[in-house]
Amino acid sequence: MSISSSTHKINQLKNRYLLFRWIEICLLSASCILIAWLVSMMFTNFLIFKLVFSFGIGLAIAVWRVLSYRLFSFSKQKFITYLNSHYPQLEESADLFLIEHDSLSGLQQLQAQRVTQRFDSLYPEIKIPNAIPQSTGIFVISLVGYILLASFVTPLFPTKNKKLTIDVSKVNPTVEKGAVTVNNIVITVTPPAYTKSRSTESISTDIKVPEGSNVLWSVQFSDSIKTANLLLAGNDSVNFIAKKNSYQANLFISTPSFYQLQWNDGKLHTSDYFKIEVIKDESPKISITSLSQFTKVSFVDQLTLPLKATLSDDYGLTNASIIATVSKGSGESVKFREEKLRFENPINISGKQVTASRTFNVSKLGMEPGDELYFYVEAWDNKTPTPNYSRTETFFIALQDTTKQETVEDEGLGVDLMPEYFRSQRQIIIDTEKLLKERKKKSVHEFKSTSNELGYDQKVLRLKYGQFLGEEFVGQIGPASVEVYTDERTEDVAAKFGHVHDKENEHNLLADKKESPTHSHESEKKGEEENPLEAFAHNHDSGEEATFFVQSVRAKLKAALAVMWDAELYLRLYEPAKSLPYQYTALKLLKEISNDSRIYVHRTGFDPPPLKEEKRLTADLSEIKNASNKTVKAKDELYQEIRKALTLVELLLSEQSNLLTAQNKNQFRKAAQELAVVAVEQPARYLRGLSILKKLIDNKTTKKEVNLLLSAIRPILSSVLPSEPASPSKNKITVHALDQQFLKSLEELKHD
Amino acid sequence: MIDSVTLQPVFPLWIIAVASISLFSWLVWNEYKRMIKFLLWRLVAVIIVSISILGLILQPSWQIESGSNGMVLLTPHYETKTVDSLVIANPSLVTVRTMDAEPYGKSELISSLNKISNLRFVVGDGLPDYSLEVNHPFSYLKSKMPYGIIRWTPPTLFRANQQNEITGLFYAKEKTILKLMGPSGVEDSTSFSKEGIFPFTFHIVPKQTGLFLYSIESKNDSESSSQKFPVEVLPERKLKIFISVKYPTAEVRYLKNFLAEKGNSVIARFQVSKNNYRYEYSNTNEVRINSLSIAALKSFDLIVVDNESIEALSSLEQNQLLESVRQGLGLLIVYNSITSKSTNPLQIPFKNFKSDTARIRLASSYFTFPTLPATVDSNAIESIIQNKERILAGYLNKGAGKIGFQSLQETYRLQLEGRDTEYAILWTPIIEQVAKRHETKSKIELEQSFPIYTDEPITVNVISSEAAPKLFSNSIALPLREDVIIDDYWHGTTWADGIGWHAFSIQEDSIPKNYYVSNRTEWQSLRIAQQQRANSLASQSKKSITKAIINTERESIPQLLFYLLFLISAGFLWLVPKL
Repeated sequence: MSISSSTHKINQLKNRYLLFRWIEICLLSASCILIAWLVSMMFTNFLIFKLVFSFGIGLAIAVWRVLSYRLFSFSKQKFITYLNSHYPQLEESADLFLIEHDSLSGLQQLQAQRVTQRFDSLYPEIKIPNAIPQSTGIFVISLVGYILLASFVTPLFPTKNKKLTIDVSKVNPTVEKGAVTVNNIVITVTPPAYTKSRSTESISTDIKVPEGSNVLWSVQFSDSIKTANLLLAGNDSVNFIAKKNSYQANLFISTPSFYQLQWNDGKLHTSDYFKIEVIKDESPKISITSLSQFTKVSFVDQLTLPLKATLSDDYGLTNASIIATVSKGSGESVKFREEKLRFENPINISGKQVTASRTFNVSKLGMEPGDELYFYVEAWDNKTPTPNYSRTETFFIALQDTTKQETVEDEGLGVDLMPEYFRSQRQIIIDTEKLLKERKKKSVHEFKSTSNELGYDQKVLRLKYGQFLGEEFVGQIGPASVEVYTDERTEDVAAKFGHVHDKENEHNLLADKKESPTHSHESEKKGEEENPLEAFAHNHDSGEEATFFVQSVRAKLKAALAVMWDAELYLRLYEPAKSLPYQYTALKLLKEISNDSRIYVHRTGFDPPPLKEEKRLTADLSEIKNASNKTVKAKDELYQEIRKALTLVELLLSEQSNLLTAQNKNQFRKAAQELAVVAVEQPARYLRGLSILKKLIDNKTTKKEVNLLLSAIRPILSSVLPSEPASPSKNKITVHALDQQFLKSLEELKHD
Repeated sequence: MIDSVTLQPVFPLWIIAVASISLFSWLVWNEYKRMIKFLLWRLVAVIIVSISILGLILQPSWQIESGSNGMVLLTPHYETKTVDSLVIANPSLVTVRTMDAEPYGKSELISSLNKISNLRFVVGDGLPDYSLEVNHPFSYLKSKMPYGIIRWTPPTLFRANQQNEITGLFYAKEKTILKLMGPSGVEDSTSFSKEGIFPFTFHIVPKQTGLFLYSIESKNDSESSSQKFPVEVLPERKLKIFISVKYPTAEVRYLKNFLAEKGNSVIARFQVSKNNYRYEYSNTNEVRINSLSIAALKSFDLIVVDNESIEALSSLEQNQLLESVRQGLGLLIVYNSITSKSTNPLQIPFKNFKSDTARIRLASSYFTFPTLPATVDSNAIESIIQNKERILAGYLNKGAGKIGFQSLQETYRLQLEGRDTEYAILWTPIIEQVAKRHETKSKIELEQSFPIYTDEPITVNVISSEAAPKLFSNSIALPLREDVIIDDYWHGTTWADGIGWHAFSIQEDSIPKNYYVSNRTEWQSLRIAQQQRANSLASQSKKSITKAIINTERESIPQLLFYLLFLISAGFLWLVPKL
């Protein structure tokens, strides 16, 4: 092996070293770029910034490493030094490879020969210094880290996008040279405070704003103008006020609409139509997830029921509650109790989305078997001045009554199993008559005791009916003359046909009657005398008036109670025989009362005028005349101008006509007026049509454009027209002499 | 080869026979009486004279084989194989082709279809309608059916706010979507999954009267096309209706309100007592109609009555009403019940039927209505509404008018349910078909069916009672010729000069007849299919196609020959006494 081959190998080793270093630097630099990119993502979204930042760091690292390794000034000498210092076998003589063989002294040649042999044996073992594994490790870690984190990193300080300006070419109508044009327009939308949204600048002249937003138009013109207005569909126009370099107009927007800018520089210029869409503040959304709408619970079950409701709103909730109603009893004696309950977790409802919960403790709510709980959840949002309100469907929780006795009415049993709440008047009469019959069989004590018991029953019955009348205390039931109710002519007819509350819903009034215990008839009469207006007033609060019975029935009931009182008196005095006539009277009165109630509906019907008896059945129809009624029912056709315009569009399109006459434009103008009314309701759908019509009306379209515009307006005009039901129409026929001859011959044939 | 001799006598044959026998007898008798020599020769000369005179008067001709075997006309899309076979079977056929047909061998190009003579065969798409009569008869060998719409049947009239049905046939090349585009976009669509001929039905509901251009868009994997078709939505003509019922039922009240809301003039009469009525006038002036007479009913288009009112009419009123119907009035009977067999000429004959409900389809839904447990007992009833079992509403022609009936009950429920559209769909055809028709003195009809192209003759037929009706085509007067056979029936021909809407109008009628001239690139498949059908109908039997055709022609015997014979024989008779 010669020295020259060793020199060559040293060259190879040096190149390999350089290659390794470059790989190492590239890996390190790439790692730094990834990390720097990740970091930059936290601060900004700007691509250029991120590119400059990350590649700058990557480059800096690369430069630093290159300089530190001195790669550009790396020579063979340095590599020889490395070999000499790291491989003692070369006896610090590796630099002899670099010197020309001829210029070596004899000793040097000898040494070179020796070192060459050693170098050859050493060559495969020479390790090139590098940090590629470390660099690769760093790169892999950086890459994995980047992949994992890149999706989640959001800018900590979101930079504002480059301010997008509105394209004013849409605002400026195509005007002649020298006319004042809009140079810049800024539309600032300030949503209402409760939305907690920031003011934004619209990037388009078509704006979409939250309901109740304040919108500020700031317009810069190319030159001074006389006036500028904001023309608003369905509203008065708003004048622009000159401020510094611009003109400003401010508007509070709560309904969808569209607008135009109009300015006057000696000549009036009007922009195209732009739409204003309003984002409605939605009502809160409530869903109950933990309970089904109908839940049945038996008393042996766990009596706590969890209520979990998810409440959400677009801007925020302010309040929510549960309205629970407990119904107790059944049938006629059902009672309701309403309670407003708060959620237990969280107690205060706020935020855009809340999961609220509460546990119903059935026993704490005072529910007993057979009772039912009806509840719904209601919520309000933070809208001002009037918050949006929404509520859920009513949910039902029924506490089952497993011990409920089923009542059976079976003819075969012969025994009345109906629960005996109290004895009826008829029953008391039967029992009294039975007592009188069995008087001889019974002992005096037994007789008196039974009579007393019957008296008690009579009292219970009286008190029960007294409740209907709103009277609780015995003392209130004064003596009443029977004549009051027997005389039909004294009935208050006006009261019978008048405004009577809750006539059928009598049981609901049971509890209310207790509110006016000391109210007496006399005091009422007194009051009437004192206040003459009361006769003409509709007074709901009077305890007397609040009863469900009309005056005549009230009188009868009062009389019945008075008679019951007498009946009880004689029963208590152990004189059932004397009591019986009073009992019969009471029964008769009670029957009449029930009959009076039944004819209520019948009496509200048509009340015909009384017949003249002398005219009855005389067959005299002379005064009966033909009646007639004249009406004009035909409905005017909707959107007549739009219809005409559509017909015109069809004609122009079929003729491929590019020229619009003044008459055509006038028709389009009229159609635009009708379309504007529709566009106010649905600007997103029809505003484009209005713009097209404006272009057609203004002389600002080329002949080529006319056809395109006509094709574009066609579907819009057509979609405005409503679908109507079919209408019968008269068919057309041409009468020819032959037809008539044919019919004549046909008739003749038939007769033949 | 002479097949037969035919004569073309100048005078009726019996006169010639009598005259010639008389002449011949007189000549023979005369020659015989002369008592000179050459009797036999003179008799021969007399016979020759007689024959030559007969020859001059009878003008005989005979059929001989002609030199040419006819012409075969090649029209676009002809199949070369067919023409090859034809030419092989008939080598003497002359082949000509139209301007738009592909070249074939030594076929000659013809500039006009009028220049064709001795046409034997037409191959390809065929001759256009207008030249079929001129070049008839011929045998037609049609080309392959073109892809696209090959049949198109629009309704006779397009009505606003009504469902108008267009049917047709589509020859699909591959999976194709067909869309019907209206002024507001896609109105209806259908698709075909494979190659073949498929029927299609489109529904359109125009919202506005006037002239509109709808289009059919077809799209498949390889191509898409759009072709316009005309839709003329005629304005509505309001009706004048008289409703006379014994008592106001919900059915009649809702019908009255429906008709009145649509702008029709309605007078409703409800009987209060024997001679007293309650009148309700909607969109009309107050007019009292105490009894039904021809004069009182003349102004109305439709009378709506219930069956009980019909029965309660006096015989005089019945006759007057019947005569009014014969003169064109529409009478609609709303049946509340079926009366036992009535002899009333205004009643519709009914027979019992097992079911008292009927299920019918209105718009896209099915509805069940109570109905009379009866069905019509006459073959003369034209149906308006019917289901699988029976006719539920229809009419009977009576003179120029109609007697209609409606047996469905409680149709007002539709209105109560807010189904105004379905209610209108149910009642509109009944009212329209029974009501008196608007009489016009003139009518314009086009012989050509859609599509019509430029530079093609358009034949227009006019019915007009005027002595000399004046027809205008786009305000240019068009000459008319009256039909040879039918009185008051006129014909005219014009050529459309441009694509778009055109109109024919007649001086006596203010309403023009509009028609649309299509772009020649559109509706080609329909035109070819129509042409093929028309040519097939006009074509002769094809049995003789494969046989060689012997062309014959009729040749007259020269009159000069008879004249010379006459001269020679007459000269001989004159010369004989001088010899």
